[in-house]
Amino acid sequence: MSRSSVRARAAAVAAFAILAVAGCSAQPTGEASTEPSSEPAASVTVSNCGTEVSFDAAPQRVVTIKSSTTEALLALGLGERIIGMAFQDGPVPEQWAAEAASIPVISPQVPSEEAVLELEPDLVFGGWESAFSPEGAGARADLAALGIASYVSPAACQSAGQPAKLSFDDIDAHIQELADIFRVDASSLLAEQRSTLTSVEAVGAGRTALWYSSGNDTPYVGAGIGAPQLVLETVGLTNIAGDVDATWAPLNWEAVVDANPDFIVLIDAAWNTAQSKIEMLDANPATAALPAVQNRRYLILPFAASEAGVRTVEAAASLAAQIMKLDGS
Amino acid sequence: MTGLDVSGFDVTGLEAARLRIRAGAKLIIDGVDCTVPVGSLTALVGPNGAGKSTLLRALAAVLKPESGAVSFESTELFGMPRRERARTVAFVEQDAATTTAMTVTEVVRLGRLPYESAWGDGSADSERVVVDALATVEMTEFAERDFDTLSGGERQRVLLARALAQQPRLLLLDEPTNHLDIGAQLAVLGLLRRLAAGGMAVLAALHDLPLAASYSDHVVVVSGGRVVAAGPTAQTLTPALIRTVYAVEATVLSNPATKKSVIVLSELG
Amino acid sequence: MAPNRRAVALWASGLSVALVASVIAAVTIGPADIRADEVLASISARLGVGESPLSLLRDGIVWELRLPRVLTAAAVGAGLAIAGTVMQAITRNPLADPYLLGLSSGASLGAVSVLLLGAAIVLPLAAFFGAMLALGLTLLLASSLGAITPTRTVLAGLAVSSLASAITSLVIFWTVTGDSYRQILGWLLGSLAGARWPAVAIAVAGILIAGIPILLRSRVLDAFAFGDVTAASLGVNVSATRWGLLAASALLTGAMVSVSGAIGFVGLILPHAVRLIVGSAHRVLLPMVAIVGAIFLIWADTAARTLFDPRELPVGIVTAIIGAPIFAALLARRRSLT
Repeated sequence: MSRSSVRARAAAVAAFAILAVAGCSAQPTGEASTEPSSEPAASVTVSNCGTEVSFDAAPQRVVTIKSSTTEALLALGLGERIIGMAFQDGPVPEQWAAEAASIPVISPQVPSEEAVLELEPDLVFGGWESAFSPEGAGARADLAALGIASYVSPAACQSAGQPAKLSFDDIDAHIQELADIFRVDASSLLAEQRSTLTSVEAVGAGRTALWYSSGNDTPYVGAGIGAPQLVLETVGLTNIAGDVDATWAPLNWEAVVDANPDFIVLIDAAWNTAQSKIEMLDANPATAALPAVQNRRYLILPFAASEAGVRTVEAAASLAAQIMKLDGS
Repeated sequence: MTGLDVSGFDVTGLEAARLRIRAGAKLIIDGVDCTVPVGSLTALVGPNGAGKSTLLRALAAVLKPESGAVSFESTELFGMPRRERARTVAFVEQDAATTTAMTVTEVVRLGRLPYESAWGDGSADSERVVVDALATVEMTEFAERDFDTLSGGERQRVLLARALAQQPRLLLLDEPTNHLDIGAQLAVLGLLRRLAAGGMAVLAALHDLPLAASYSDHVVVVSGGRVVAAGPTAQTLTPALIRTVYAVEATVLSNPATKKSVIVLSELG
Repeated sequence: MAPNRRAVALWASGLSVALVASVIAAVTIGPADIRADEVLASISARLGVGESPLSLLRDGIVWELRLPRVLTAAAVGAGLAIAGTVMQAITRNPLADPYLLGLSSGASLGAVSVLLLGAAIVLPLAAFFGAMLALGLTLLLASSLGAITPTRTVLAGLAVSSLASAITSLVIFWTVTGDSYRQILGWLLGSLAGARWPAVAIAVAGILIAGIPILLRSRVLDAFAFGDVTAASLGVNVSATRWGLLAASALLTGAMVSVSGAIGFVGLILPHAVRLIVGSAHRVLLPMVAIVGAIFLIWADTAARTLFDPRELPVGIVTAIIGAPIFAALLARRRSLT
C-alpha cells in the first residue's frame, strides 16, 4: 500500500509539474480560449455534493465515470473533450455511437487514481459519488489539491446535496450547470428535452408498477425519491415502493406480491439482464402467480437510461410507448 | 506365561512384559517388565523424564506400545473391548483440566460412561454409584458445585471419584499429589491406601520419594526408560538405589508405629 | 448449578411448545396484511382441510414465501446450534463455532463463484462443495503438521478460512458491477430471503442425516470434556469418534450454510446460553440447543424482514447485533475461562 502511494504521489507531482508548465505555455483549443495575460473569463463556482468547485475556465480534458456522465457531455456536444471514460453501463444511444467509439475506455470498472492522473484531466465527472474514493479515482480533496476538478451527478450525491425528490427541474438545473461550467449553450438540448417530456402522456394512470433493478433473493427496486420514481410518475404509474425514502432500496418479495403491480419495469444491464430477471420471476412460485408475470406485462429499460441524466426523459417516453403497446395488444 | 521373574510377588494383578514405547524417533520406554499386585498400593517413582507418564498411559491401555503386552488378571488389556476395559481399568491423568462448565456430579457421572449406551440411559443404579463415589472421596457436599470453582485438592478428589465411578479393579494415577498442599496430599494417599486395602490394584506415579515410601507397599523404580528395581518398598528403596537413581543421600528408617519406611534425604557428599 | 430432572423436563416441554407457537406466529407476521386466522386457514387448506379464504396471490405469499422461510429458519437455527455445540465439545474450545474449519469461507467462495462468476451450478450445491473443499484442505493441512490434534485442526481451519476469504474478496472486488455486490453481501452476512421449499428440504435433510446421529452419540460428547486421554480411558474410541462427529458436524453446517449463507453467532452463543439453563450433559443439551436455536432464528429472521418494512435486512446482521452483547455478557460470566 505505501509503496504504491509513494509512486502515486510521484506521478501526481510529475503530472502537476507538467500541467503547470503546459498551462503556462499552451493555449487551450476550442471556442472559449483567452490570452493568459488578458482579463480571465468569469469563474464559475458550483456547490456539488456539499463541496465547492470552481471552474476558472471551461474544462478541456474530462474523464467520465459511468454512462450518465458520458452521455450528458455527448448530448451537450462536448464529446471531443472526453479524454477517457470508465465504468460504462452499456452502449450509448445510436446518435452518439460513432463519436463514442473514438473515446478511449480507461477501465470497465472504477478506475484507479493513477490511471486517471496519467491522462492529465482537468475534470473528473462521476456518475456515482462512491467513485471518488482513494481506492477509486481519488478522493475529491486529493484531486483538487492536484488542480483537478471533480463533479458528481447531483442526483447521485450521498454526502449532501441530493435532491429530496428528483424532478425534471433538477435534471434541467444539472444540465444548465454543466453548460455553465463548460461555457456552452444548453438551450437547444433543454428545449428538446422539454418537448419530449410534454409529449409523454400519463398512459399508466391508475395503475401500479414495480421498478425491478436487480437482486434474486432480495429484490433491489427503484424507491421513492430518485429517477425511478420520477419516470414512473411521469407516465402516470404508481410506484409500489414509492413511500420508501431512498433512490433505490432492497425490498421484500412478499411486499411485491402483496402489492400485485400491474406492470414490472425490468432494468436490462449486462451483469443482470432483463431476460434473467424474467426467468427468475417465473421460477419463484410466489411471483410466478402474479398477473403481471403471467401476462408478460414487462417494461424494459437499459441500465444507463435508468439513472438520472439526459436520458431520463427518453426513459419516460420509452415506458409510455411500451405501455401503449401492451395495452393495445 | 510371560517369562517374568515373579518371585516374592503375588501374581494376580497387572502385569506388563517387555514394553517398548516410542514417540516419533525417540524410544521412551525400553523393554519394561512390571507388576502391580492387587490389594496393595504400588508407587511408580523415578526422576523427571524417566518415562513414568508414558508408561502409565501404556499400562492404562490409552497408549499403544510399539511392542510388549499388558494384562490384568491374565487378560490382555489391548485385546479387551474398549468398554469392558474401561470397566476394569481407571486412569486419573495429571493436571486434567476442562473448559466445559460442569458440576461435580456431572464430572463423576462421566465415570459411568462404560456402563451406558451412547445415548446414555442413567439408571438408578448408576446414580447410586456416583453418590457412593462422592462419599468415598468425602466430596458429597460439593455435588452441585461447579467443577472449576474447586481448589486443586478438591478437584483431584472429584477426578478420583470419577475413576471410582467406573468401578475399576485397577486404578492408575499420574502424580495425584501434584500442586496439592501437604494436608491434601496425605488425604489422597490415605484414600488410595484404603482403596487398595479394599481389594483394588493401585499404581500411582509419585514424585515425592519420602511420601511414596511412607504410603506404598510396593514400588517400581524407573530411570531412563527402564525399570531399575521393583519390589516391596522397604526392601527395594535402599540408600544405594536412591543414590544411583536420584544422586542424593538417603537414610532409611523404620516408623515404629506403622512399620513403614521413613526416608530422610540429603545432598550427596 | 445443574437443575434437577423436573426442571429440565419443564424447560423441555415449555420450549417445544414455544417452538410450535413461534412457527405459527412468525408465519402470520409480514409486510402483507394477512390476518392470523386467514393464514392458518390457508395452510390447513393446503393440507387438505377446508378452503382457503385468501386470493391465489396472497395464498402464495403464505405458502411459497412465508412458510418455507420460517421453516428454513427453524431448521437452520437448530442445525447451526447443534453443530456449534459439537464443535465446542470436540475442540474443547468454548469459542468454537460451526465455521471453525473453514466451512463458511469455503461455502462463501462457492456462492461467489455462482453469483459473480456465473458458474452454472445451483447455488446450494456450489456452497456445499465449497465448504467440503475447505474442510478437506483444513484436514490436509492439519495432518501435514503431524498427528491431528484439536489445536492443529483449529489453526489449520483459520489458515484455510483466511485463504478462502481472501480469494472471495478478490473475486468480489474484481468482478462486482453495478449493484451485484448486494446479492453477495446478503449471502456473506447470512440471509434467509431466498428460502423456498427446496431450502426447507435441504436444511431438514441435513438435520436428519447428520443431526440425528450426533444426538445419538450425546454421551460420547460428554467424554471429550477432559481431553483425549480421559476419553480413551472411559472406553471411547477417540479418533474414530472424533472423525465421525467432525464429519457429521461439517455435513450439517455445510447443508445449513448452503441455503442461508454464513449466519453468525447462532452456533457460538446458543450452546453457552442453553448450558446455563440445562447444564453440560449433551443428552439434554443437544435437543434443547436445537429447539432454542430454531426459536431464536425464527424470530431473528422475522425481525430482519419486518423491522424496516418493506425493506429487508440480511438476518446475519440481526444475529450479530443480538449476539455480540450476549457474547460479551457470557464472557463476563465465565471469567474463569478467559
